[in-house]
Amino acid sequence: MVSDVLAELYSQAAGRLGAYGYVLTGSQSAGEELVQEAIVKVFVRRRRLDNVRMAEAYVRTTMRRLYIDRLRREAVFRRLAPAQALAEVTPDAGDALASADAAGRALAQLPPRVRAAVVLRYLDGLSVAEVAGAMALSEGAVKRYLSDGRALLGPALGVTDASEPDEAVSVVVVERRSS
Amino acid sequence: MTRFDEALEDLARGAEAPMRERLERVPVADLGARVKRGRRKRAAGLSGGVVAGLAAVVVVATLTATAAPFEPGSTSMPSQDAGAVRFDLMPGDIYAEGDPQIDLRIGGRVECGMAIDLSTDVLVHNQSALDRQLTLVARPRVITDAGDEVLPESLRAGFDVLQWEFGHGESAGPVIEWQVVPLVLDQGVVVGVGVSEGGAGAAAEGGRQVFAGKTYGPLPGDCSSGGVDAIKPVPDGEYQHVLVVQAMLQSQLKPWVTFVVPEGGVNVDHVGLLEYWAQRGFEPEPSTGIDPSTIEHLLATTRVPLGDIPGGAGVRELTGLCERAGAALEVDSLELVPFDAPADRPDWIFGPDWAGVRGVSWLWRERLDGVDTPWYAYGAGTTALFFDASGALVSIAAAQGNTVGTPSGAFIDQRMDFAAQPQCGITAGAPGAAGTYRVVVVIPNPADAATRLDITNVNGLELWVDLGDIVVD
Repeated sequence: MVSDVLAELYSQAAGRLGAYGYVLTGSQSAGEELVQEAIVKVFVRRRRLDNVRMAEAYVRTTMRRLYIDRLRREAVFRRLAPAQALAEVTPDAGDALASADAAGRALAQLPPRVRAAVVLRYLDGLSVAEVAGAMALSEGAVKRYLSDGRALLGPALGVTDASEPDEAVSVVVVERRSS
Repeated sequence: MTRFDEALEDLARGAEAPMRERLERVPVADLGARVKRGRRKRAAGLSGGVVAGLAAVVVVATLTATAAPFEPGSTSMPSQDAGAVRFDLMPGDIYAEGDPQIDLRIGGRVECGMAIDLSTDVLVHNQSALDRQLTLVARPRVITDAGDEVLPESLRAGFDVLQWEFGHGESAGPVIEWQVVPLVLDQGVVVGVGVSEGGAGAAAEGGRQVFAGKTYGPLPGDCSSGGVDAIKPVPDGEYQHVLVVQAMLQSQLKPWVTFVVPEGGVNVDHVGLLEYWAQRGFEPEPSTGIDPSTIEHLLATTRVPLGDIPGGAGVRELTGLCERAGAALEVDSLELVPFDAPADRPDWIFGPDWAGVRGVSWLWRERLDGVDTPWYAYGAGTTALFFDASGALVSIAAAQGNTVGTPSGAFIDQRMDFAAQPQCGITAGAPGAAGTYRVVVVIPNPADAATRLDITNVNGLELWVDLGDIVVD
């Protein structure tokens, strides 16, 4: 049933998904819309979603893809028809987080592509190459975005070292069972 | 030392609670309904918001008047700003009262397919709104392709844009939030939703805070919150654009007042683009190649008579072609290649389905005033015709076929430099008169001495080149 898994997802993961949407878009309202859009997209397709964890992963991935697609489309649209391009996302009246502290303000003011690159790299743990692949950018461009993002966001987050953190290392734990 | 990734995770964790609270304002049932609608759309093989929206559950937002109509004195049309509508809510005014069926602040967002009666200009949901002396001024206008600002009567989709200008204010007091969304309706059904914007006023003590902004009106069929792919063609016709504005207090659960500003009904013309193409003599359909029959046709035409042009790829000498030769360009290569539009040029033209660039014209035309080494490119779909050539300008004015100028160079790196002034031949000749010029490509053809190809009229390749008036000082 749609409603069962959906309701469970909403009750258990709404906060995490919402927070991801907020960090990705820099806006509570845009993040909220992104969550809802992704949920609808995931569930419309009648995927086999056995549990909430799987659904959350699907929704989170879809959010990322939707947002990157949107950035790409809007970039093209702005370039080709600036008069008809959509307005930049601006924090709405209820966007308390975006203006609550320096971190929120810095996040909201990051250029969208820079923010997306930062989130994919440091929150999703993708490698630079994977970020480049997801965003259809060169690795050099991603590195530049990451550098800009660290420089702009780092001080607000209390990070003084703007150098690249160590690459995330995936550790595969194999459970050994004695027979 | 705090790591950047850890700090970002902390930031996200800190946002979880407020975001959960925010998301929980939207009932899961609403999302479930959207999912079901989406599934129905998929099952029906439909996409896009309009058609499916019409088939979807109709949500009736009753903004109809449930009390006395708004006093005439509280709504006025300032004569000093034609087309503007002004609302001043004053204490003691009689107002139309009702519950808000639309809440722009939270989950009750407007969606395509909703049937809405927005016949009431002002609906006051809380009488205390009158005490704050809310003011709203809004003015719709059409910005034409030429950049003129006119009152909304017609809109050529693809060229003109509808823009709302608005300002609002209130007397001093607790901070009031304002939310704005432009809509387009077709007989009471929402068929376009623009970008919702919001802001909070901060009235100074004893003063009146006034906020001003602009927002673009959506086109019919623009139903998503941000995707170009949601823009679907909608038939020509008269649509009603409205700007819905709500004012609310953060501490209250429902809006104070809803304003609906109508623009009066705009005739949206979606075939303007086709007419535009037709006026310029080519078809809007993209093409991926040159139809050989077109070349044969062009060979048969005498519209642009060519002189005795030596054949072969080695043609370089164009001197003397001024004498009604009309010869133009020698093409060394001709190919369609993927093309990225120049990032700083707004001249690109969308196709009627908004799917992408269909063509481009007069790139850099303005640089032809005084003829200062212009260059230009041509687009067809997402490809462009690039060619290396040397060439000349051919007049299409009264003295058709006369060569009035030859280039100082050639297409080099997709660029062509014309002579500083139209000249007849490379070395001498009378300057050409001001007028409109065309570029003609001559393809060297060993079998036929020269194959001429008017690239301005090649089977829908959309290679119109309006060079504009070349000013000859």
